[in-house]
Amino acid sequence: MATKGPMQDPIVDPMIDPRTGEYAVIAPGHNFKSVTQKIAGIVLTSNTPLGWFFGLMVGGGVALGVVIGCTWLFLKGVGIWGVTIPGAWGFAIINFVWWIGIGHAGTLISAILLLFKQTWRNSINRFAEAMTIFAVVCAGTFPLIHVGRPWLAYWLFPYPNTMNVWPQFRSPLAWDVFAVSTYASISIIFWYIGMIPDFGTLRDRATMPAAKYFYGMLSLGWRGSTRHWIRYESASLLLAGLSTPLVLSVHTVISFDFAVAALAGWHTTIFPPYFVAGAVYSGFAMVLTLAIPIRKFYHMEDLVTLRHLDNMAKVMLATGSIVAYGYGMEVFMAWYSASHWEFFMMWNRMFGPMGWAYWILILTNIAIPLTSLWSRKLRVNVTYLFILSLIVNTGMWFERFVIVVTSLYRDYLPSSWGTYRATKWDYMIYVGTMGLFTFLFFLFVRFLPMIPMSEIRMMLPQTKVTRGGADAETVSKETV
Amino acid sequence: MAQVFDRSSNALARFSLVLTGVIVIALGVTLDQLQRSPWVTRQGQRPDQPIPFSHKHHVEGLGLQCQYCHTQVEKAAYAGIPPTKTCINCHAQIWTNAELLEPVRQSWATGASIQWIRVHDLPDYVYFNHEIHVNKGIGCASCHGRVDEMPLMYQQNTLQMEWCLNCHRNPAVNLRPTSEIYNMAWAGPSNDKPVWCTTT
Repeated sequence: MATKGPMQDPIVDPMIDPRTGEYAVIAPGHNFKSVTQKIAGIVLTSNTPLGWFFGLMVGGGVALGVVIGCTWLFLKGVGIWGVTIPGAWGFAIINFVWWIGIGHAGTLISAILLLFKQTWRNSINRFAEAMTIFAVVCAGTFPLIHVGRPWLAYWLFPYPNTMNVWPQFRSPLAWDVFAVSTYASISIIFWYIGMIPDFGTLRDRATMPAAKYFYGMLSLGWRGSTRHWIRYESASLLLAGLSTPLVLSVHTVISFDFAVAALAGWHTTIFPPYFVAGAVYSGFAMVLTLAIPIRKFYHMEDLVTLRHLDNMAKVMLATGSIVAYGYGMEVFMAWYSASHWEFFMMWNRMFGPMGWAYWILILTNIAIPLTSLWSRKLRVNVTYLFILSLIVNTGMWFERFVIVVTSLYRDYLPSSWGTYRATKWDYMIYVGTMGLFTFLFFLFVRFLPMIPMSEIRMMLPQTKVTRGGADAETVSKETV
Repeated sequence: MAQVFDRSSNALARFSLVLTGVIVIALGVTLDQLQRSPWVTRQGQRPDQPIPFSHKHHVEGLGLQCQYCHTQVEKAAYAGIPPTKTCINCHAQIWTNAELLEPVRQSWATGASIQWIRVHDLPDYVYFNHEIHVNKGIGCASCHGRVDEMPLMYQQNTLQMEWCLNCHRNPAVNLRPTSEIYNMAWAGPSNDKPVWCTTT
């Protein structure tokens, strides 16, 4: 594969266009037809790989954990979880924040990188957005089920009712409802609009009548006319402009769940940016966790190149450093505040009965990634990146665990100190959401175009307008 | 190559947009009806009581004052349902052979309570108090409707929280002199007239 070449050497690097000197995002050698064939082929094949069925079944099987766990939960009540009175928030909230955080990288890739005109986003944005949506689905489960009376959750929505009662708009938990529901709907719309041209391609390439109808319906009569494209581009840009503040505010709102409270360890003004940075950090780790196997099993190394992985690792390095700054500031402020409780909170985090969680967090979020990601060799080492992405996902889960649990179980009154121990139901629902995520993701990979064909086609050298008519000739020859 | 969708699809596509709008509206109406329709609030429904007791007959026909039976209404949170003794006061002598009154006689003979079916049934997390309303100038008819015209008891109002709050936010329109509390036919003051409010 061409990407295996020594990328740092400008002379023999195949990623550099010899004519323009530009650094290519995708490996050379592709034309419109080959890109389309490669991506559409995964969807339109009649020969589904066996591994797909296996993955779908494993994901679906594990997802049953959510079904079983929630059934028992609704029958017996939230007392089947390990939540106690000092620590009334446990796995449900930890997992909620973790899943929402994972989703944020998808929006960052599809929206923020679009605003910055980063062409390397094109290869990864579709499955990053899918990741967002499925992560939000998993996340959205938790706020609904961690309430004691989930059948009354609709009271969180402001609707005219016979009680003349409205939600309390001062509670960040009510903001969560608006943030997450808006985030979910905008993400789905953005994702869907992005897929319309690709649905058009799939419609035109499908041979089965059912597939033709299915993708034809989804493509909404897309013909790819100039008028379509102009509106498509402005809609995408507008949605990107809307999603960018949205993605920053959604996780900010989720951080407010904690920062608005008066608890030492929660009442911190650094939470909004630090949570967002953590969200992007864990989200990019998840994109890597997904991208690396996908590019291997579907042979996408020429579309999701080492440059993509390298860039994602760099974003992880940057956001991980912000997170590290956040940890540092928390420790500093615990001392600088001269607050007895703040100081104790930090001491308890580090050396209390759950100190192990804090040190796991430091090890997996700071020590391992932030020392190694500086090395380019490791950033383009696929195996290392994959392992690292799993480490960071673990670390970011522990970050939420440390914030939620260690602040709660020992707070102002020593007489209300307790502990927290998750039960099998906590674990079952958490692992179940991972299964649900996997299940949905496998469906996505099989039935939807996982890489935006239209955007990749735009990146091919054939679309570049240069002096002379040579390229126009190439384009006309290679147009599908 | 044949077209995937023929011309009729254009109409279908447009119609699906209309249909979406219709579904959204229908959904809104349904949800509203699910919390407001009389079928849900049980307004106007007359459950089968063990004895078809007629308020119309006893109040309009015989001219009984409300407190004759509902003795506690001025003193307690619960207005109270009269015991069998109250019925027997008269029906020991009147209509003694009426088959309709057999459950009353049975109850009197055995001491078992008559199992009346409660028409105005608030949830138990509501602590409604009759006494304060009656003593502050809310007449029976304001909440229970023209009971004197009800052959069988039914619920006139929704008893929903918004209904309570509407009055609590603007009670003046429903207040009446305490002398008129049990006057079922009392026409309430309009907004034009100054509302007389009791001082007791």
